Amino acid sequence: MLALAAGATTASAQVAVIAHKGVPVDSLSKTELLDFYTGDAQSWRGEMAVVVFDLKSRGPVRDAFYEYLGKTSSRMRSIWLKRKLSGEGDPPESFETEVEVLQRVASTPGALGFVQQATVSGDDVKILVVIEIDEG
Amino acid sequence: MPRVLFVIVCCLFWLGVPKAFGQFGAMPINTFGYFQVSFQNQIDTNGDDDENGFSVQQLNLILESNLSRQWRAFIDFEVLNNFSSSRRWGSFDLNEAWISYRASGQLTIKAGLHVPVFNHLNDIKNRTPLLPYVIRPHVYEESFGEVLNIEEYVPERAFAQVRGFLPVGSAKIDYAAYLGNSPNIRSQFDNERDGDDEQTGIDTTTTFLVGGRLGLRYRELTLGGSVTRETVNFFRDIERVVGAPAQSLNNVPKTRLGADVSFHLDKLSFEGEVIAVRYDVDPPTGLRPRPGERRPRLDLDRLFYYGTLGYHLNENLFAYASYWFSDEGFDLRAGEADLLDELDIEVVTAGLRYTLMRNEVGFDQVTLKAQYAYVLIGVSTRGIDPIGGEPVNLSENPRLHLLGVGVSVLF
Repeated sequence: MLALAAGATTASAQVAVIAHKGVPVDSLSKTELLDFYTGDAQSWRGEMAVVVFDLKSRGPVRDAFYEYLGKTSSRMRSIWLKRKLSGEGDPPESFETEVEVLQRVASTPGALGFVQQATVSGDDVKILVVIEIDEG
Repeated sequence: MPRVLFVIVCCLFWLGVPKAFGQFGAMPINTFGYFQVSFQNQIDTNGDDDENGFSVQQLNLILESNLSRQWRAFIDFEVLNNFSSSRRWGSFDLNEAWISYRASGQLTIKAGLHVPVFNHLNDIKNRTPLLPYVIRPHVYEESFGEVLNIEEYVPERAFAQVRGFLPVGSAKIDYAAYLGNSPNIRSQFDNERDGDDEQTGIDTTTTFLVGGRLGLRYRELTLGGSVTRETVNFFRDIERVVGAPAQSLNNVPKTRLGADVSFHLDKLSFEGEVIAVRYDVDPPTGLRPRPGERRPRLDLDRLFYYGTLGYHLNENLFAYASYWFSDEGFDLRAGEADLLDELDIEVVTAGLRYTLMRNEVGFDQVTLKAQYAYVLIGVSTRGIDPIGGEPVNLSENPRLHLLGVGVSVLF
């Protein structure tokens, strides 16, 4: 059972990068995470396809995540558009709320996403990275 | 009653088709595409030949299917310049038709017709929603294909390619290598001229286009070097004029060399390229010098470079300034021929791109563009007319103001 803290924006100043419980890793480096989100890597160590999820709207969680990766929103859109138009891959499926991201990651083998850490409890997903939100 | 039966049969057929395809495991086909419509105003500083024109510069219709996690099929139809077959405007081309196998990011194999990797822009030059320009750097502007031989500068088609990257710490070494036809393709035009009745669209030589790119990616900095090698046979038409033995100019080696750099630094971005084209027609090919001269000369070398500096004023608005230069010519001093023909094109341009965003992670569906360009053209011809034998000495330096506004739509 997922315990969800939907809509909480100040309960925790951390973003959790989460993955389906069945993925064969327990942590990710920044480079590995960036490779998944730019499409350079499409599988977990060649064993299982990665399914990447994103949030639709900008906000502190999404901004913190992409700032951690060193990319702006417009740069990420440009990277994905180039891949799509070149036949190299599809963009991440995106959701309106963190609750939806959490549920889809929990139920999709190989899935990877990010939510505010306070949204996650229980052991339905793995937390691979924790990112501090710069509230200044 | 028969009409009702016909409708019912059609509905049943329509309902049954997806199931039938499902049974055979057919993969769904994604259909999408994009087009760019523009208005361009051209003013000659001499007051002559001013032009206004609306144009569907380009439309691309793409069909794509993910055959499996690793296999993908991709077809791209390209329509240029208000295409109309009845009015003989523009063109309609099968631009790409390929299948790819992605073993991993380190290795992707592509087989079938595709635009190969060369420098930064070549393989994405026709993806108008990606680019800020109404008019692209001119050797990449597909809609100029009727007046400028783009393929002289960049490879347009290849048929087999391996591509990938090798991680080195936090950097990546990109590589691509490909194979295609040499440019000696028999066309309908050739057949009409020669009166031949042979199959068109095939390479008439045993040589290939061979090319590749090696690059480095580190954070938001990208560097690369590109090369292609092929042979051309169109010099054989001038063998007699330049005093070369028959068959000696049948397969003249041609090399394209390229270098590219791009970086993104917060809101600032830069990209630039250099392309040099060389024909290897040195004396081993049997050229005879002109009377009184020590060495023969046959030079069709070309040079192009551009640089674009951009700045994101906000998430939607991007401003840029760019400089483009190309130098091409025909310098022939051999045998009975003495002709120097030069064409320089210099463009100083600036523009704005405004994206209307559907949402933060969706694609930019509609992109508005505006661009101004000042174009300086230098044309000169000196020497002896090889056809009439008369001395010729012509020189022109037209200057143009170009203003373009356009909209690029992804659908």
